[in-house]
Amino acid sequence: MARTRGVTDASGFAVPKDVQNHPVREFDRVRQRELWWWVLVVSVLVGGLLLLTWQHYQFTDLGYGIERLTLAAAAEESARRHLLVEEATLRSPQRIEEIATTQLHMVAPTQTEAVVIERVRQAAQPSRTLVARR
Amino acid sequence: MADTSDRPWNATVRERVLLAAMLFATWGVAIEARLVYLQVYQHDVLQARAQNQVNRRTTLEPRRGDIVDRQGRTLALSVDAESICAVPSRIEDPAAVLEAVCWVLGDCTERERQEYLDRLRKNKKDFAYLRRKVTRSVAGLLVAQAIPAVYTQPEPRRYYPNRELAAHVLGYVNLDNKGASGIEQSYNSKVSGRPGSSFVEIDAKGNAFSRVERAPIPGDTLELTVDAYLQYVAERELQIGVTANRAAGGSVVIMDPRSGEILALANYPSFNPNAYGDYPEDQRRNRAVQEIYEPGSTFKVVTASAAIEERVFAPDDMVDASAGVWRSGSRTVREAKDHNYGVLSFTNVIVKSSNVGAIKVGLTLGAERLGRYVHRFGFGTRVVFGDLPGETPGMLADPSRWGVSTIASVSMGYEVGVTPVQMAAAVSAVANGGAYMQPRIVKARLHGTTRAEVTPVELRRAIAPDTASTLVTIMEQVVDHGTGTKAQVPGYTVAGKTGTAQMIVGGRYSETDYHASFIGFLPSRQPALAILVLVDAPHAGRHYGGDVAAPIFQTIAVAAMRHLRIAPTINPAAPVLVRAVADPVDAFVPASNTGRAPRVDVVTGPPTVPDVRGLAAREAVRRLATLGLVARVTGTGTVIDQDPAAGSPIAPGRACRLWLDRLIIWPPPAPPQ
Repeated sequence: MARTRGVTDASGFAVPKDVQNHPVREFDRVRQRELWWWVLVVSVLVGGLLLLTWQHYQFTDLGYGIERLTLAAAAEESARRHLLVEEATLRSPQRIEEIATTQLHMVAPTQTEAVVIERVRQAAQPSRTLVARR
Repeated sequence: MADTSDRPWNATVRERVLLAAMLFATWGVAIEARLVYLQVYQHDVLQARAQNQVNRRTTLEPRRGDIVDRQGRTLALSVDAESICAVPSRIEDPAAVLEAVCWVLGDCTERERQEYLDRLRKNKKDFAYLRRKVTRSVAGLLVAQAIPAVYTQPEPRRYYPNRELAAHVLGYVNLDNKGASGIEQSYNSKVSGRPGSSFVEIDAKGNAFSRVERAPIPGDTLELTVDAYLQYVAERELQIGVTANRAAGGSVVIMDPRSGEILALANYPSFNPNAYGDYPEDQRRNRAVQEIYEPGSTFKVVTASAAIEERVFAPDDMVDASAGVWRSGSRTVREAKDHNYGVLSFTNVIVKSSNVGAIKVGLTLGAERLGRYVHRFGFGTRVVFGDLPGETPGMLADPSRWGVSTIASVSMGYEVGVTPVQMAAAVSAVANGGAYMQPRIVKARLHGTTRAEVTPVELRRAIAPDTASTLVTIMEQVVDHGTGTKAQVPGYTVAGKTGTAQMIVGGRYSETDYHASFIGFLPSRQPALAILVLVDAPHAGRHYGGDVAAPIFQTIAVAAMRHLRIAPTINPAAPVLVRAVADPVDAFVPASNTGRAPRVDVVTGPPTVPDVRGLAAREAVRRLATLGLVARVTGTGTVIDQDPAAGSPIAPGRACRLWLDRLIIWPPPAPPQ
C-alpha cells in the first residue's frame, strides 16, 4: 500500500497528496569536465591511430606508385637503348654507301669536284657565309 | 526416486552456466595456447617464412659500358634482351612444351631440340635455360602463348650495330657478358661496371610496394681512337684488293704518326661479333697484332735509318751492288726479278729496293748497331701495351748471336718476324721526325660525366729529326719513281716503301706464296696518316708489294684525305678571303686577282645548331644568341649536353636547352668552325 503523505480534506478523509517526486539532476561540473576530457583523449588516440593507418596506407600506395614509375622508367630506358641500336645500325657506313650508290646512284666526288680550301685562321661563325669555288 | 521438482531452479541454472563457462574457458585457453605457441615459440620460424614470402633481395646487374669511335659513333652497346627459362619440376609433358617453344622460336635445330628436351625432363630442377638472349619480338610471342612453366627473364645483350666493322678491334663478349676478345676483353673490368642490389617487399600478388636499392654503377664508356668511316674504307678496300688478287687474306693499319693513335685496324677475312660462334677461330684472330710475318723490303727503312743515323752512309754515297747477287758460303741472294743495279747510290738502294745493296749496308753497320735500331723501332716487343689482348712481341733473334747470314737477312727484312702494327708504328716514327710513339686504341674513358683522356706517350727517340727528314726524302722518291709508283695520290706528296717477302710454307721458303706489303705516309712533309697494307699469298699473277699492296694504299689514302679534309700539298688552291654579308647577292673580296671570275655558291638554308659542349655557359649562350637561339641553362659549370643536338636545323627564337656540370677532367673540344 503506497504510503503517501496524507492530508485530510475538509471532510476529514485522507486525500493522497500528489507529491511531485521527479528527481532533478544536479549539473555535476566535475563529471562533465571529466567526460569531455576523456572524449578528448579518446579522440586524440583514435585520431592518432587513424593518422598512422593513413600514413601506412599512403606509404604503401606511394610505394606501388614508385614501383610502377620505376618499372616504367626502366622500360623507357630499355626502349631508348634499343632505339640507339637501331640508329647506329641505320648510320652504318656500309649501309649508307650501299644506299647512296645503288639506290641514289651517287658517286664519290673526285678531287676536281671537291676542293679542300685551307683556312688561314679561324673566324667567328657568321650568320651567312659565301663559299667561293675556283 | 528423488523428486527433481524439489530442486531449486537456480541450482540447475547455476550448473549449466558453470558448464558453459568451463567450455568457453577451455576454448579460450586453447586459443590462447595456440597463440602463445605461434607467437612465442614459433616466432622466429614464422617470421623468417613471412620475410621469405614478402622480401626479395636481388642483385642488379650493371649496364656494360658502350664503345664509341673517336667521333662518338656507337660501335658496341648493351640492351636488355629476354632469355627463355623453364621450371622443369612443374612440367608434366616435356615434349609438348618443347614443341610449343620451338614453334615460337622457329629455328630449332635437331641438336637444340634434344638439348631442350633433356633439360625439360629434369623434373627435380626448378630452373633451366632454354634459349638465352632472344629478340623482343620472340619474347613477346612466347609470353602471348602462355606456355605453362615457361617464362622469360631479362638479360643484357651486347650488340655491335655495324656488324663486321672493327670486329677484331672490338672483339666480342661471351654468353655471360664477359669480354672474350679484343677491347671487350682487355678492358672488361672497366667496361663491366659494378653490380648493385635491391631489397624489395612484395604483396600476395607478387607486386612490389617497397624498394630500397643500391644502384648499379654502369661501366665506363670507351672512346676509341678508331674512326668508323676510315675503318670502313680500310675494310672495304682490303676486301676488294684481297679478292681481286685472289689472296688468302690481309691486314691494314692506319695510324696518326704524331700521336700513335690507330685510326683503323682491318683484317680480312673478318667476322660478325654478333654471331662470333659461326666463325672459325682463326678468322676471329686479330692478325694485325697476333700474327707475324717477315716484312721483306719494307724493313729496309730500318736498315737505312740506322745507316744514316750512324753516319755510315749518306744519301749520295755509292754502294756496289754489281752482279746483282750476294753470296756467303752456300747462301745466294739475288735481286728481285734478277736485276743487276751495278753501283748505285745509297738513296737508290732504297728507291730501287736493292737486296744486295741493303745487305752491303747492313754488313757495314754490323750486328750490334743494326740490332740496336731494330729494338729502337719497337721490334721484338709488344707495342700496344694491353689495349689488344694476345699481342705477340714478334720474332727477333738476339743480335749478339747474329752471323753474317743473319745480318744479311735482317737487312732486307728476313729472319725477323713483325706484326703489322709494329711495322706501322716504326714507320710512323720516321714520319713524325724520329719519335717512337706508343700505338694505342683507346682515346678516352668516360665515367659518368667525367672524361679521362689518354695522353699520347713518346716511348723513346728512335732517330734524330735530321735522319728522319733524310729518310722521308728517300721514301718520297720510292713513290715518285721507284717501286711504289702505284701508291701515288694525286695532289699529295707520299712517302713509302714496298715489300715482297717469300712466305714460309712447310718449313721452307715458298716460290709461289709471298707477303706483299706497302707502308707509307702522307702528306709526306706534314704527315697526317701512316698506312700499312699487307696482303698474304696473292695468286692473280702479281705478287710484288708495288703491284698488289700499293694500289690498295692509294685508294685508302684518297678516301682518307677527303674524309679528313686535308688540303692537297701539290699545287694547292690559293687561300680565298671571304666576307660575311647579309645579302648573298653582294660581291665578295677575292684575296688575289687571278683574272678568272670565281663562281660563287651561296650556302643558304636554315642555320644549324652549333656544338657548344665543353664551353663555359657564358660562351655557349653568346654563340647561341648570335644565331637567334634562346638558351635555357640547367646546372653550373661546363656544358655537357645540349638539346637540340649540334647540326640540327633550327628556327631563330627557338629555345636550346643546355645541361651544365662541373667536370673533374674535360679537355674542351676545339670550338666549332
